Amino acid sequence: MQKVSVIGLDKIKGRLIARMMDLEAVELTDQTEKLSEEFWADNTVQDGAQDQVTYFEGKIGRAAQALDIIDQYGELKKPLFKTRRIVSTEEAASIPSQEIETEDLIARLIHLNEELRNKRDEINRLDTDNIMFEPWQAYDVPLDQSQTETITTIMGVLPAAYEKDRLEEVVRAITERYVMKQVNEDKAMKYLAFLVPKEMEDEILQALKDEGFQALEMRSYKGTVTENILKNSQKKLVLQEDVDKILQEIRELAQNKEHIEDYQDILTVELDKKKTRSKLLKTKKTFYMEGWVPEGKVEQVKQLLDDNECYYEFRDPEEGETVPVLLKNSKFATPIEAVTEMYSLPAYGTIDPTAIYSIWYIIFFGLMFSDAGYGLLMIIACGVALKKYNFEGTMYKFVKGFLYCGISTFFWGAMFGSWFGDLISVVSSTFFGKEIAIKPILFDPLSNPMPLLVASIVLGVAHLFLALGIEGYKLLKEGKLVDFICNIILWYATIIGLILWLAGSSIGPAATTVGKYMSIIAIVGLALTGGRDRKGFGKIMGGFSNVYDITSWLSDIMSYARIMALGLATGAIAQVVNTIGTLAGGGVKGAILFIIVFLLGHTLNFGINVIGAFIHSARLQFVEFFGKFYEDGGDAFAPLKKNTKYIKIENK
Amino acid sequence: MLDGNGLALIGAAIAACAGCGSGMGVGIAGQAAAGVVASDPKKFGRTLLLQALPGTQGIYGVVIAFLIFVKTGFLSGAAIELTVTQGLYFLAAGIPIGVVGFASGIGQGRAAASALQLMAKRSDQMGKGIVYTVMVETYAIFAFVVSILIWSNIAI
Repeated sequence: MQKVSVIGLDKIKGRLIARMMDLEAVELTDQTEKLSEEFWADNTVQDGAQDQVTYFEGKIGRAAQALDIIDQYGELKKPLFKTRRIVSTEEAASIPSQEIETEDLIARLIHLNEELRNKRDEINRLDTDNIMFEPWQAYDVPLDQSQTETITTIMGVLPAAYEKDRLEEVVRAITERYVMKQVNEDKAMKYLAFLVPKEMEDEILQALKDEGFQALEMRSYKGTVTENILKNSQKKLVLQEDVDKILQEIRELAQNKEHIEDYQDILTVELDKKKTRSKLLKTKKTFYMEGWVPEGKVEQVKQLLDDNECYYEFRDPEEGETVPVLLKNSKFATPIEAVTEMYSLPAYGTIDPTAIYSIWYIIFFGLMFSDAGYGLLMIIACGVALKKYNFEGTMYKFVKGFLYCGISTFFWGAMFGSWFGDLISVVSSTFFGKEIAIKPILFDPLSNPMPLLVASIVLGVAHLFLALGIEGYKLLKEGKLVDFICNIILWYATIIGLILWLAGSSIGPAATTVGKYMSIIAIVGLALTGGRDRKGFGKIMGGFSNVYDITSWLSDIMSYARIMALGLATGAIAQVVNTIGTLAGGGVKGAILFIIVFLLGHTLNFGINVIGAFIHSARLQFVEFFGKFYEDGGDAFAPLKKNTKYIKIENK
Repeated sequence: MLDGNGLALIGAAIAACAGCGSGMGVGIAGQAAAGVVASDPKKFGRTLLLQALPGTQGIYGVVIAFLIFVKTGFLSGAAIELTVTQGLYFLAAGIPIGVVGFASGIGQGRAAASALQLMAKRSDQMGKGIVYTVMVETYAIFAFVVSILIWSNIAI
């Protein structure tokens, strides 16, 4: 990374920012801190375009709202994976010319959505009214004619558990001049109507309320209850038709979804241009900016700045500066970057381990999943997906990475003779009465797991030695020869010595003896040098803990046994599935059961073990491999670029 | 009373009990996952991944049980007559994964629940949460390896 500082004329900054977006080569850094220094505060102010940012944010918000409406009511088919459409520069340049139409479309959609909400609210209101009216159908006096000069009507409900006689008593205590009618009764309520003198209405109402009566105000409605119910139902039909029409129109407008998407993306690019301005400092006629540029793009950026007649300066990062990290790997290793990103990016200036461990990751994955049938499925699925969809970024890395892992899975599955477990021999012997078996190319780990366990451990030791070697390389590069001998060579000697001592008898008795002395000398070395940086008692403690680290090496090595365990699990469960499938024997019935069990069981087994292989293969890198040398904690390089969601604009 | 075949079946049954631990672990993780999804439904896929992690102990248990069935001929209907000693060997093969799987399944469930909390707050740190969770499984894997080693070395 190089830090670039730029001074240029204010009038060209818009064009410069736009060109930088095309290059995707500069990450501008925030300059607010500079303003606390006297020189900068006296001469410059922070640039910015807050009102334009607000303006664009408003427009983007409305476009997003319109897209939400389309998503909700448009009934468009959703693709399995969301990928960006590729749009040529000319097409992209023509998008702003459709601004008026698109704004109209957005406004129309938002309007329709409001209409829809209103109509639906209205329908709800009518429904509630009808629910209220329903029990009152026997009440045939028009509701608006509920009072004369002297008499008025009180209507209301009483919980069914209450006695209406009590109410009568209460009313009678006030006046003898009243009529009470029960209109209806259901499980919950009694529906009552009173005719009472007008001047006593309030008094009677209060008394009734005290007894648990709840008055309903229906005098504002015209006509009888039944008429109201009918009218409401008719209104509802009309409203429902309106709703259907609105939905129909939204569905039609949804066909233009892409216009809104294009428009929103273009707006986002404009917004980002304006937002970026807050990272600039300005005087009356000039601006100042700083940013990070990856080594490989320095020339391009220089060219751009020269074209725009800017004054600029490149420099190396200073100590203590937070420098962003950009991973750069070969075409083969790039997909595995997704795994590194899952852990944490390497700190700036340290080793990016992706290229080194990518092949190990793929081998471990294959050994853990180890079924040729599943491997084929992965190859086909990922291959088709890569052909059909235009994946980008992390998604591309994952799909491509799984393609590699699928090939590895297929390879190891064939080595161990597992094709959907023992599918072929089970099917041939159950349904065709003749057992055909595909012989494993190497050996069958289910009947003989020891070779696989040994292979796992051997691979593990090699993997760990590689990690230790990287740490050694780092130390040598820094010129720390003593550390290199004590921390690296002594450990190699200890581990190799112990292995020869314990397992060397198969090579010959000499190997055991060599191993014995080699490990003893190395361990004594570890004890003597472990506390070399400490004083007094610390020297002894350091040496002791250094020797004790042998146990952590042992557990690291044993950890690789999981390769065998997960490999066996895939094959064994596949066999369980096949065995259950044949429980009904041969024939048509047996075949039906077998197909059902096959589909369900193998889907489950595939799912569980693909997760297991993915995660445990990553764990062996993260814990065992990275633990020996990796320095993480870098921030990803985030250049100024067109941050579009729906379209990918091709650069010329 | 007990013959060799009975002892071998008890061994298979004990191995399958690793599923108890997975059941509880997946349950604990599932509760936490539901909490996370309540505030952000888009995280469903990723919570599912973490919830599935404590499920492996149960799988290892079933694998050992199945391997015992195969070697004793229990499933094919032509069971081999085992001596009591051979039966005890099979019983011994079932114990490591049964016992360790039980405990580590629960522990892994707790770690997965915490990893889910981590993901709810900082979804970019999910990878580390997975690593913490997978650390627990190591011990179930060791037990599985021991079970396999005992099983594969029983002479019939």
